Amino acid sequence: MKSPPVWFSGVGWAIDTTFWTDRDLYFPEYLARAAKMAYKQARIDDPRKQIDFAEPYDPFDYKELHHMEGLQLCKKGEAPVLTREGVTQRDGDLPTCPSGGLLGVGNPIAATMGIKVGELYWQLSGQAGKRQIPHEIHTGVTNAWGDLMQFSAVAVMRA
Amino acid sequence: MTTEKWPGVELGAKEFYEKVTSVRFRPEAKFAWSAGEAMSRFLAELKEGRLIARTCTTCKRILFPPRMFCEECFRPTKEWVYVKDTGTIETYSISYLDLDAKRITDPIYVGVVSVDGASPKMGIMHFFGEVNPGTIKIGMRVKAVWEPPEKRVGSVRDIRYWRPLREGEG
Repeated sequence: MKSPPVWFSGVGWAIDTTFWTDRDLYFPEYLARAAKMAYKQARIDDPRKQIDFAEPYDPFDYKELHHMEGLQLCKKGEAPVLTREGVTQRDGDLPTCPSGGLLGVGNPIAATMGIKVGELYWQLSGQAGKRQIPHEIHTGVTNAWGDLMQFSAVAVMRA
Repeated sequence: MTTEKWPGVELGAKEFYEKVTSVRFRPEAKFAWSAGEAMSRFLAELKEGRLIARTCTTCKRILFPPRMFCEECFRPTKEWVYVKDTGTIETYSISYLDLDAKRITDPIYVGVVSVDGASPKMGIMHFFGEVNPGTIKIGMRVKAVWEPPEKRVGSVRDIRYWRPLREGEG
């Protein structure tokens, strides 16, 4: 094998009620639960420290922020601050969407997590080219989101 | 509502028929759809100017909109109960696009209103009115503005919109 292997170390999923007008739309609880499941499998108990970079599903601007918080990568309300301060840039402490996000690669509904998992693989195996995160990385996380704003799947990958 | 100040060229029906390649086709798309037990009653009650919910005896919630099963407990719901036509704005959007995605200067207000009498956060998506971008707020208390009885058809649009609660109401 030319490039070092990259492993799926945890996956998780959760679905909330279809009655979306009956629940909190600010915090994606279903994603937090899916992440908890994936982190448990990946033996991650402090995602803020143990996750090196992330590819949250970002079909709309706010969803990247929404999902960063759901993935427990920051506290509630902290995602916009980290983004503004440059922490989520490629050379920041928590590179987020180093792929450039879905505005750059497109958003094939229901298949998009494929490109996100691909980006984790390329980044972790050092094959991301111009998009490569400049510092050492070992663990990445991504998520999908869908149905009636009620479902998320999470994958943690390690090199 | 639309003005000349927006960039681009607006196409009307004339342009679509004469200048843009178009195909006319009238599909025979007839269908029937059953709203189901809970939603049928909900719609029938709207026609009477009332909002109705269902209770769950296991989690003790009052579920609105009504449903025949509780999605938290996986149990059938128990009883019908009327809820009020007043509520609270949980979230909203101010849209400067109309239903045909045309730019408008007088915006449309949509969002989720949770209704009084149901369990917390139980609500529906609807329009807000008699507000402006400066006055509409999350947490604002509102009341349904109903269509007159003869105009109601058994639809969520039998409520025209939700307006701010006035002093002395609710």
